[in-house]
Amino acid sequence: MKSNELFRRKHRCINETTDDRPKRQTIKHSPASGGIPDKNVIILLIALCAACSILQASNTGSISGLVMDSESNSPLFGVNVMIKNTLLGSSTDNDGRFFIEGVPPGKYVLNVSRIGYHTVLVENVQSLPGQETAVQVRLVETPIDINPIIVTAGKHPQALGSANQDVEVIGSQRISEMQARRVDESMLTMPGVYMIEKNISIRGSSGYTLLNLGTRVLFMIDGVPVLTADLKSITWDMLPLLDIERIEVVKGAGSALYGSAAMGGVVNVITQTPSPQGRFQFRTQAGMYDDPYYKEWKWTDKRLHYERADISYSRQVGRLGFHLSASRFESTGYMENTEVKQWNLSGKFNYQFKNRSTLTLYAAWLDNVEGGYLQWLNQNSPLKVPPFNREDGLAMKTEQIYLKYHLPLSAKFALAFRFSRLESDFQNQITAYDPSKVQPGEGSGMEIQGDWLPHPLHHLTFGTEYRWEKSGSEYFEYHKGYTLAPYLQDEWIILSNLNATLGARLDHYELIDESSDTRLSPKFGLNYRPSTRTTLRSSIGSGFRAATVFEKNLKADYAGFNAIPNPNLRAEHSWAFDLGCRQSLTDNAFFDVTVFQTDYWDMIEPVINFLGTIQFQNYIRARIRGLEFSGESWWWHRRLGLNLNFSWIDPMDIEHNVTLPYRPRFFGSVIGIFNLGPASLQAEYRYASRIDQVQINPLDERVPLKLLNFRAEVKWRMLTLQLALNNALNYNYTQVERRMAEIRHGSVGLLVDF
Amino acid sequence: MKSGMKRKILLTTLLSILSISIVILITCQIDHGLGPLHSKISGRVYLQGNLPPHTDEIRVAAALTFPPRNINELLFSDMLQFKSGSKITNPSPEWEIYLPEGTYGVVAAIWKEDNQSWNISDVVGVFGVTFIGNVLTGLPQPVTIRNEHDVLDTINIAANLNRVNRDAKIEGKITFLGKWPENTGITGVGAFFDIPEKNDPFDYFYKNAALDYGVTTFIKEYDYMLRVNSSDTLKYIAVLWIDTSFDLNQIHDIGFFPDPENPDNPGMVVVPAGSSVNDINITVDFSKM
Repeated sequence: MKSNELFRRKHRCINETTDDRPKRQTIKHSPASGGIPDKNVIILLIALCAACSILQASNTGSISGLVMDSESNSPLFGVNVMIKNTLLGSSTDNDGRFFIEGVPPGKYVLNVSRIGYHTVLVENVQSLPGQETAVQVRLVETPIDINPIIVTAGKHPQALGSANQDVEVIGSQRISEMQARRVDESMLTMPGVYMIEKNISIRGSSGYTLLNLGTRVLFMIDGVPVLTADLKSITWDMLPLLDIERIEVVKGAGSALYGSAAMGGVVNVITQTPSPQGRFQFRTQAGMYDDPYYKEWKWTDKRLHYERADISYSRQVGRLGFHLSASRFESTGYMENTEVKQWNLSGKFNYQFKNRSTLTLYAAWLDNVEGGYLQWLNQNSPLKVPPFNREDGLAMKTEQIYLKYHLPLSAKFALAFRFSRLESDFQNQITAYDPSKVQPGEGSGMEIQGDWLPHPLHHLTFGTEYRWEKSGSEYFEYHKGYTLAPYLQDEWIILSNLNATLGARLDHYELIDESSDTRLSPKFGLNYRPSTRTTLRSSIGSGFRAATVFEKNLKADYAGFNAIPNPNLRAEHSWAFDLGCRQSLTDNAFFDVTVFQTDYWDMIEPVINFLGTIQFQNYIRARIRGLEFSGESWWWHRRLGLNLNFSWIDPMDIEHNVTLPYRPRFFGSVIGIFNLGPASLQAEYRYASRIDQVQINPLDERVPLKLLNFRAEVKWRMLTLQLALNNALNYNYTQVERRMAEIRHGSVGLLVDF
Repeated sequence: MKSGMKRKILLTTLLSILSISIVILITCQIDHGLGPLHSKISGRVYLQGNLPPHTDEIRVAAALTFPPRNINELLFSDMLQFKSGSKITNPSPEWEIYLPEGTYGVVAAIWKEDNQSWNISDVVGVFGVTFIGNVLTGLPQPVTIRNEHDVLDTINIAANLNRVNRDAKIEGKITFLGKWPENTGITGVGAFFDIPEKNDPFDYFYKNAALDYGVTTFIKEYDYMLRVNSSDTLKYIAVLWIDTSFDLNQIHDIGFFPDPENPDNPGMVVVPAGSSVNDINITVDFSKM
């Protein structure tokens, strides 16, 4: 408690717990008091929770409050307010007010947090039966928030500082400042995260595959897995950018909670919460590509450009909230046959029942048409593609929908139900493919999750996930399969500054009439906070990834390569260990350093033989070790900031004693930020060492990645004008052989937010 | 300190940083990464023999080492312009490959059949190597590009199309006994003019008349067919096995077509023009590997 007081003082928190406020009776709500829309759900819940319902206090109080900015005294919207050691919480509305009901009598600590502000702990908040306790909190703005609330590491809300896995968080504000065009572009400067085209590699977990297939990173939207059923690939363009509230990236093995594909880490996009009083956002961005540095590389006289427009509106009407978004992206591409035409639509609907349960429906639709090619024409015409690729491309429609029902049965027990469906329809594929021979990949999922605090020092998270998938084409045959996975995790507060997590998930997956397997993925983690400014964390966990039907069965010819099936392909599995320290130096500076090692067995990699034949094999025994560092510091009243991160990895195939392909050994970035009133200027330098090992054309010249980007922003009332110059030095590089990365391009953008 | 003064200091600092950055950008040599290649090798391919039916294309390829471990270690020229339909219209087409500095151990012309992948075994000519009949003889002559503007324009290659002009075929069944090794990478079947020396990758290239690495792995039986030249005498028909390293220096013979009279020795096959010889059966026993 003493440390919490210190923390609070250092963050200049001003809070009051007033008992002299006019007291009023709050309406008492029990789970069976009505408002639940589905009778079947009620029956199911009654059966599941009968034993637990006795825990619910019938004589409860409520805690309400107002959260304001400490300097301007203006109310803050979207602040998370959690009651520690309970499952209760809320967020503030446009007037900065929050209301938490059903609080059993007692003294509590409130955790008040919002991205961009120091987190505050409000202690000794008393809940009295039938009464409302009011709290007033002022938050201090900060460019650095080292302790925001996250939901991915433990599958429930918790402070970042208490997580025992390394988690990166990027909020919508920063995503907007980065002027990202896609979700994946907003993660380019995260330590330990490296992107090769659309392939994400966390701590060197993944290399490169053409269609981003078989990713070792699980992509989720609001905690719901969004990997296509056939390729098991990430569709980064799945949701409009204005849908994003924040992105959480959990590094290291995540299979103990999330199963297959999470062996390298998890990316969870948290979507916007409907705004209580209506919020309209419009963002447009128009960019233009420069000529290539070498005149002989110029391949067209047309001016190459891209445009993006996003629009969203959200509002709360009574108990119903909604957030609607649409976006359009169109690009000529910077090289031949790389045009993109893309539409996104999405909608999120929240309904809060009287018994504090919440029903959420989210649906997103993507229509994407883009050109495609395998390799450039040659190094003297790197922006042109071979004649046989000029008509190639990809047309894809994807629909994602989920329904979540969150039912808090008491302050100590809550249930969550998730239903989801993802359909990805490749309407045409690269030339060698016949669209009539490909059927949509379909995946449906169901999950029941329970959170139970049987004791003030224990938080149990348990549940079962079921997933059914169907996919097929003449090129990888037709398959159906399912996964059934129970999981259990206990977070134990050993001391006030020491907590441990122990959990495991048992995945049974079966390809019907083909094969089946069962995998246990345990995990153990520790988090120790020797002082208010220091957090030490460590975790060890197992991960696995089932071989995809595509990897096992692909049989196709394309651009001189001949893919052959490998029906004996097994799941790959790993053990990951990390040890990290996050140190807050001052209110305006921190650093985070992590060392890690991941061992892989049966690692699946595409192997290309001397005939140009590609086969996925799990012959690799690999070990990836490394170190990550990130830090940020601000000076001159937060006018000048510096963000630095770098990662060093040693990705080795220890069976053949060679470096794993498509993994740079060193990568990082430096961002200098200068703020002056409403204007902001950023200079970013990104570097990645030359990739040691490639698979397709090892003799080709390869160079390190060296990118210099500039960004500027001016705010005026509800308008924000944005300017960007990317790859300012017009540096030419490839991340994958014979695929030239983007040349210099600049953009102008306008953001309207009211 | 007054706020006006602070602002002045900040602006001065910002302008200084910008000025220094501009000076650095203007005065320093900026690295632009990859650039066009100017150094190259070029020459002509002198085609001999008849154009085989099912010819798709011919290209010249360079590799740092011979044999290349992988088709991807080859750097290819553009397609040679030498035919129109089924007729050779230019018997000495020109070619060029832009290459960075280095010594290239082999430069060779490779023939490709319609609807088939590139097969390194279908080499029809190697720089510095001559033919005796359809058999390559001699060692490849390396070429060295010494600097980024080096142009070697006399890399001429004699190519014998008869080597891949396959007008007959042999067929048979391969029977696999025992358990396939876990580290099986690729399995092939080849017909050779003579028995190649073990662990001599040159011999496997030079003496082969036809080679198919498309044998399905992890099965019990496989029916194969090899197109061969009817003028060839095939002294060795064998099943070849390579582990998952796919290293061409590690070719293993795991079975051969036996001499009916003396099953411990390889059998010889002569194929009449335009015909097919059947029942060239081979048994592979993995337990004896």
